[in-house]
Amino acid sequence: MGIELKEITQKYGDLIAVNNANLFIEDGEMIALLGPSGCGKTTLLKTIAGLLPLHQGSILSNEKDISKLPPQARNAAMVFQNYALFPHMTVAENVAYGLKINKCEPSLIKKKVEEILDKVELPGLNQRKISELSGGQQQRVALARALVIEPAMLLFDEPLSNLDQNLRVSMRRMIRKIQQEYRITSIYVTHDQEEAMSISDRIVVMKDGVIQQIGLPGEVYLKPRNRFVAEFMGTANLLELNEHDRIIQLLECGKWASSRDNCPVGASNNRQKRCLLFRPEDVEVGAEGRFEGTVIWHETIGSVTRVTIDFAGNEIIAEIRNYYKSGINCTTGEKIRFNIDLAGDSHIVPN
Amino acid sequence: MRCPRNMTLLKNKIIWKGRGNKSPLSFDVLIDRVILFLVVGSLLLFILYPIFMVISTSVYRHGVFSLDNYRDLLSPGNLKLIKNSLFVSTLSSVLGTFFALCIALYTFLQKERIRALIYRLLMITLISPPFVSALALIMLFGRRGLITYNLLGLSVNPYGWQGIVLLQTLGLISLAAIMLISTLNAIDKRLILASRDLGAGTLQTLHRVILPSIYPAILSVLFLLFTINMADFGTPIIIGGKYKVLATEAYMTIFSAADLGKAAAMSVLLIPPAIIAFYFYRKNLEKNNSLADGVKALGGEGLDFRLPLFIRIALGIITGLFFFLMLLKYGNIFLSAVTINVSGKLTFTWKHIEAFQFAYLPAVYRSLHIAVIAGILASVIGILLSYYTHRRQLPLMKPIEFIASLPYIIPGIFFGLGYIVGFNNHPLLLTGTTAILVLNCTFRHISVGNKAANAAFENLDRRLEMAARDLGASPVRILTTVIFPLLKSTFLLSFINTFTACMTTVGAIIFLVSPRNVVASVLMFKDITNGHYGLGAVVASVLIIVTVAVNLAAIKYLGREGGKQYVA
Repeated sequence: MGIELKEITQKYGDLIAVNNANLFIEDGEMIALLGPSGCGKTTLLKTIAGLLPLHQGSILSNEKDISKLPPQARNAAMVFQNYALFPHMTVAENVAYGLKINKCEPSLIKKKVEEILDKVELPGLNQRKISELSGGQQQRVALARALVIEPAMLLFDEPLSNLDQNLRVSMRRMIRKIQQEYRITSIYVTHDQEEAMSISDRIVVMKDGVIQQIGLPGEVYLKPRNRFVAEFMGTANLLELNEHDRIIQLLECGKWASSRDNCPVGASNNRQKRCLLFRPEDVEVGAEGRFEGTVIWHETIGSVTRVTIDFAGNEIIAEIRNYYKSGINCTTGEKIRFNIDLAGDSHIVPN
Repeated sequence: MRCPRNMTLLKNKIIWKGRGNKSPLSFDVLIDRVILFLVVGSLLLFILYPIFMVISTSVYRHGVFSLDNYRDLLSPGNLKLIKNSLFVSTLSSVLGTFFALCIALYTFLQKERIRALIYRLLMITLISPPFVSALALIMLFGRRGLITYNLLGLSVNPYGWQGIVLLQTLGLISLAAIMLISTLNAIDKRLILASRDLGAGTLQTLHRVILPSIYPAILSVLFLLFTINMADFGTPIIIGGKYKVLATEAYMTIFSAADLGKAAAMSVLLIPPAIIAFYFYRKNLEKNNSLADGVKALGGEGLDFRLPLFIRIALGIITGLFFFLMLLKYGNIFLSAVTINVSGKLTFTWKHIEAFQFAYLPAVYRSLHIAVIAGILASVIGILLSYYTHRRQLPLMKPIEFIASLPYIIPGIFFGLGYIVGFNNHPLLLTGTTAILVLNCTFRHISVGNKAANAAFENLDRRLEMAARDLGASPVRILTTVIFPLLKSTFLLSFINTFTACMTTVGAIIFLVSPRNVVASVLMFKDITNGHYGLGAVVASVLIIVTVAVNLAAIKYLGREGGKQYVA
């Protein structure tokens, strides 16, 4: 089921939670709504589910307006952040709830419940109480409960945020696999960019109720539309650009030269402030580097070491792979040399 | 991740209106409306209307508007009554609050097991048919009292204001102590630890941290006791002797003089202290909520908080003495039921029990009957009211909820009078029926279930309802499949409270009984006032045993269910 959101605006009193959102979701596509706390992503999700009345705009499903349908009639199933499992029912009763409400045959209910519990890798737990399950198991029951009614649309409200890191990774793989297998149109709300990138076909980045960018995961990471998206998607080095800025001069004699033709810095008359974006992995630390800075902090996080470098008054974060074997000295206060690889063509973002 | 705090409420407000909502659901929506209508309608008819009728009766004389009833109240004789009421109630409330505070502090600082034991004993001593204490006092310490006369050879006169104060004080200590213990338990233990850590001694911590924290609760308890004591007519009638108070006079005016207008004006006078008590109670609740915010309170255990020895001993003696007196009271009741005091010698007898069997069993059955039905009705209505007010946040429900809390605030005598004047004419002729007793008991106690349900809903994740709705359930289905199953404990708690109150109450319903529909507690009251102590003691024993048994069963069940936390 393809879904189209047209000019959706949602308000809580004077507060605008979602501002003029337009989005088209293809049939079978998984979209991630990504953004910080209070950006309006959950509001948007609940609006689509019908759990919040629509203030302005319309929601179309296969070109039919569903904005005024009650949630029951929208054929959407939601997976909640804290699972929202009914504590007074067993696993099987929870999963069967939607089927019972929709008056399915008891024999069919039994069959479907068992099928779906197999699918989410919870066989044999039918008669368990919810309180006897681990967080990961509860999440799978919640997923099963939503899947079993064969919804045309699956809505995820930060479903993994209560789980630990390892479980999150395996659960998101399961969700993605099942979603692709059934080709259910899905919307996945999260504030974790890694999760958004790994699970979705396309990402919608939101801030203050406004959609900032819609694109493929790689697109949003490599070609952020603005400073906010750049910083929200991973770690970003952003140097403010200004024609008279020393940094540009410094950069111009470096690797910058190779890609400057693609860069609109000099040509633009636009007075809007711009930033030069490069990721930590674009910074190569080494004795032969053209630039010199001072180490102000460094931390090793497993495979990489992050070094914060003071470069002419700007902080630059670099990543060093295999730090312990590299022979590079990152002691705080030491001078360090590096290059910046600006091979791409979209490294200039509005501030 | 959560959205900003101020948005949460609005965000979670569930909207049921589906304008495109046609076919199969509309029947459910209709049922939903009918339930809402029944709840609101019954509250207006059986609470607001009788209250209005009392006030209206008090300002009409012979069908003409006049304030004569109030003017008469200001006659010197009546002013004396008001003065007596104020004096006795103030003294009993202050003493009661003080002793309750001592017991609460003592309990708070005990180990878990002792604390649980004292708490249970307090719960049990809460169950006491009224005037049982008066009966015990007369039989143990009266002119021919078992202890004063038989043992010590004294002839003491227990009648008078001292007797009233003693009984009223003792009678409400359990209730007050339970309320204070709950508040003490809600104090964030880290505050106490912090105070100790910063160098304050235990006494200083008590003085500067603990007592200030529960100050609003103390005030609210004080006013609550004051209200109950002001409205208490039974104790003064039995033990007051010549000492008359306002509530007694209101009672006598209804029964002997049948001057409803004057009685109505008197009971209106009892309202202001009740309102003040309620105000403090609400304020205390608010403060309590902020105290307990996010803290798992676990009593004083592990606190290593020891008050100086002499204070501990004093608190211990007060607590022990209280329970000793309670033991005397209950012991005396059971003993009096099977003995007869012949010229200072106790002899075993079946006489009272036989008399009881002969004449009283139907009344006991009727009491049970009424208490069970009222318990169920009050709990269901209380929960539904909370659901429509706080869960669905329907407009105008807040005032309706306030109306529902009124019978709990106003004196029983007022509410009973309301039913006399409200339901004695066609088409609302209910006088003398069992129905009027059921209705009175039900609507008197809606507030308990309502408050309990409010608390339960606070802890019940709204997303459960969203999930059910998302999976296709209609409002009525959500009520039956999600809300009610999850509020089972709340229902039971409310049922038990209402059941106990209905079994033992006299205040509101004494005006509503006739020989046709008389209940056990009223028979007991009449026996005691007429001096048939033995028979009264049998009824009291039966009431106590039945009510305690039901309560224990409920506590056991709740304890079992208590492990399950239906909290997000």
